[in-house]
Amino acid sequence: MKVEQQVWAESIGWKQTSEKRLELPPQLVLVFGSRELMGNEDLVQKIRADYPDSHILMNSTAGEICDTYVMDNSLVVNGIHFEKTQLKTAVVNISDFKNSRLAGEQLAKELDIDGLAHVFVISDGLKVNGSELVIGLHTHIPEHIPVTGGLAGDGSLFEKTLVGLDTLPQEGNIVVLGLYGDLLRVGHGSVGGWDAFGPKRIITKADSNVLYELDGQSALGLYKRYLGEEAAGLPSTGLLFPLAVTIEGRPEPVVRTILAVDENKSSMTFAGDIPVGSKVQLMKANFDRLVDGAEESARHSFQSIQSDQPELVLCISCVGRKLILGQRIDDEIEVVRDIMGDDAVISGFYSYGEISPLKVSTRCELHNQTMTITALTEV
Amino acid sequence: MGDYCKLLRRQLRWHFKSRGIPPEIVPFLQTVNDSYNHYEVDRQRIERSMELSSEELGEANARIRAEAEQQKVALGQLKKAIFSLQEDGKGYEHTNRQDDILSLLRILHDQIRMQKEVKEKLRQAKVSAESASRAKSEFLANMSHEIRTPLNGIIGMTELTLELELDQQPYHNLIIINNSAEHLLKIINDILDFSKIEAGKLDIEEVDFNLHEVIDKAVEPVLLKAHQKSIELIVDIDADIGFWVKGDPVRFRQVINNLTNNAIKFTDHGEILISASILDDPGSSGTNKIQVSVRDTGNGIPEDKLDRIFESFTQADGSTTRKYGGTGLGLTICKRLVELMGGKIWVESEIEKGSTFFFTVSCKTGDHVDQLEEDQFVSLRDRHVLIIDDSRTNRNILKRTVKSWGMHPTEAEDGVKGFQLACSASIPFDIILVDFQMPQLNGLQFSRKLFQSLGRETPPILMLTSVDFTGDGENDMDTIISDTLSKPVKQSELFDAMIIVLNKQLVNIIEKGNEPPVGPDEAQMTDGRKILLVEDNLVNRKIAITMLKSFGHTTFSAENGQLAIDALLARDDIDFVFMDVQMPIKDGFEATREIRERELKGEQFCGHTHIPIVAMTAHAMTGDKQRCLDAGMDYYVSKPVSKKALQKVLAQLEENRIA
Repeated sequence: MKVEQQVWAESIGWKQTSEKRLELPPQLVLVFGSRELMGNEDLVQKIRADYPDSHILMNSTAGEICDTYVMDNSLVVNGIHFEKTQLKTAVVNISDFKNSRLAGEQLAKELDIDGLAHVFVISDGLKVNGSELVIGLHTHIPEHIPVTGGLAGDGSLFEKTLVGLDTLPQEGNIVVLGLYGDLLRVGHGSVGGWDAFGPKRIITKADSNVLYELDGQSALGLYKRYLGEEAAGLPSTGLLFPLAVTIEGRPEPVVRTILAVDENKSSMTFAGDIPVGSKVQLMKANFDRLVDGAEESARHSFQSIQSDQPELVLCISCVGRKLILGQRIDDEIEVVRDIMGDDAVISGFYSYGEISPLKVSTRCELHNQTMTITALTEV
Repeated sequence: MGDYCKLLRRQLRWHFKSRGIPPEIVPFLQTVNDSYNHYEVDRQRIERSMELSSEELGEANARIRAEAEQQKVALGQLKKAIFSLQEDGKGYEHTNRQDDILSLLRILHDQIRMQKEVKEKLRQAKVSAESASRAKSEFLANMSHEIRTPLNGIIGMTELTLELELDQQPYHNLIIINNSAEHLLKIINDILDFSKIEAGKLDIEEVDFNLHEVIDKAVEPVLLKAHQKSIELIVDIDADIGFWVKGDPVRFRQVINNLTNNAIKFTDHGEILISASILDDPGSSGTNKIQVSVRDTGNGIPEDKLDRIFESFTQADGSTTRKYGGTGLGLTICKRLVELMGGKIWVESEIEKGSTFFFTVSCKTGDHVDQLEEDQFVSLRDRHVLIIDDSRTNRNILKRTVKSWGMHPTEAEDGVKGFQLACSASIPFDIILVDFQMPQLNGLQFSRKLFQSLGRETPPILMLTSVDFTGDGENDMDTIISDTLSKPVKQSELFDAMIIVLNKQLVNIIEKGNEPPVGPDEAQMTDGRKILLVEDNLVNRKIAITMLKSFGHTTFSAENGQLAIDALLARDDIDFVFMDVQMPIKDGFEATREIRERELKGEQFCGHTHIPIVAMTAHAMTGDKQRCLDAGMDYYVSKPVSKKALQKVLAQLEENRIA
């Protein structure tokens, strides 16, 4: 497989960032960009013109990753040419379904299971319940086939996210890419680097992914207490304290991050399910722990790819991490580069949710606050 | 340098001293400064979080501590409760020292297991006790039946023997035997009832009956006793009570009879008031709640015994049984019967002043049973009937039939025995049913023989025959046989025939009163006097009639003072008048005063210018005698009337008559 990468930003215009250019047209083009640029028809037309015969998957982000740089208000375009791998795509809109699980089921049905090696999924980040989506996907996709991907972002605005396959990106879209063939190697890793602290609490009032009360007390009130002055920055500052949720019957806690708050209802909307009765604990992180987490994720990914030379490394990292790491956000990409080697093309985006199996050959789940890395190559 | 954070400023000063910072490292310094600031923000956030978290954990800790304290207290109480379950609290001290919930649970488990075992044992014990109790009750019921059979023989034979001419000593002995046997029979009847109730075999009937009549009938058998003890018996039925109710008249009567009997037993003087009233309107349900009370002026019952007197085999005082007799089952039976009839029974009592027993019964309003038939029924009730038939089956059928009409049957298996019974009966038979075809004496021969012996005292005879009966050629048929019925006799035919015959007899008594029939033994009969007995109470009347008859006198009766005057005016052969004092319509005082006033005006009653009147009164006070004499009565006999007293007054009458 071969990958070429170019980037567009207001200040620099179009610029190639990969060493090589593709000799053959790519089957797949992945475009990550800000919501504003996703709606820029000129730029979109230009990409379509560059890759007239390719599937073009575009989504809005909370920050684009290009090589070891993290950028805002840019477009990162990755053209991928598979030599030994076949591609199948499917797209649905959540508004056509009763719920996210059914949308996931429909998408999975449209993929052939025969020969399926890997599934990559990009979903609307605000209208889709990521947990339910992966449950839906796995009703038809066997658990041993890894599913990775993430939820589109909208900077730190949390207003609307856009996803599109071969069309202008729209709200509510969910796209899956099925990759087929024996010679494709995929590695994945997903590590947060957050530490739970403080009392364990029980969710006493919640509805799907909307949280009202913990231990009979207002959850929003608790967040405001912990955020202090930073409460003014809700919902994005809520990302400073994600929740470790231990759902009944599951051994490992999952991390859940805030997408929205409703002052009137005194409620908080999270990126995934938070069932009543689950135990939760606030989480905190510092700079070094997050960077260490990214490195660990890269190592997991590198180890599981079973190849010395990944061609493409897709990093999907949580918007919450960006909030903590601030100006030094690049640090968590640089540690990925250190692990993956100089030849790999690195891209990706900051998301509202990451999708990946926690470990090799376990079913995939929705995560928050992680750096999720999917490394691909062909042998 | 002024923009850098404190630490960096210090470090720069220390590192570069006064040399100044090389300009090429300024961008680098900016990055370092940013990192320092970033760390600082991070640190502050974490510190605040830790502080808050620590606060929260402290609060949680305090909460948990309080809860633990509460739990400890609760645990302590729980422990005490659990150990109190153990019979002797053993193990409590031992385990108390360690707060070992597991050992506590073990004890609790043990307790639960033990309780289950005890429960099971109790259940088994209950089952076997119930079955034993049932067996006992059934045994008692059977035994009672078995005992009654020979006892009937004893009573029957004793009564027969008593009719014979006996010396004083054997007569006296036989009276004791008879009384004892009667007493035994009463006890056995009680036990039988009790056993039936206990065994759940006693069913309460629901038939239409006349409440007033049943209460009257319940009181009637005890009138004699009351009379003997000079106790006034008063029945007061609330006018609001409908005559007809649905229920079990036999059991209703039994309860009242029992309570009244008790009242008499424990009352030496005064009165017994039996009242019946209605507690609430039947309303739409049509159910009457009737309350009956029996009030006496007896000993009273001590307060601490009141609860127990309805229990089995219990009397208020252990010595009661010795003094008054009885099984102690009477009230228990009453209680059960009342409960079976949907009511309750209770007692109020005051020592030395008397007791009042109350009971309630729920009855639906009943339907009026045909009045005519009831009247006829009443006229058969309590009549004594002699049944003579050589077929036991026929006797049994007839016995059952007449019993169902309230009659008292006596049976004989042939004409000879029948003849003996008819001649020797202490209470004369009201009617005789005789079969025609019998060995030895046939029905007709028996009737003729009886008529020859008893003359006009011969009870009416109904002949039952299966052949075409035309007599045997003699023309005395109409004289000696009242009616003939052909077999098989239908109940209704028998009923009608008996009613007609008995009414004819009553008519005869009145019609033939003027002309005493002349018979072969008439001469002997004329020695007797003709006495008008004025008495409203049937039993008292019967007692007096029997006694007077035993002295060879003929008795006519009137039920009140007015009827007495009417009788005296209608007849002309009355020699003496025996007059009760308390009677409805016109009492003894009034009637006597009227007679005397009319005599003063020159009127004659039965040819007397002053017809002798003997007062009979239960008023035992001395002033009473004077009242009687003041009213114009000549003699005075106090109730209960003894044969001796009667004989004495008759002798006085005879003397004065001659004089």
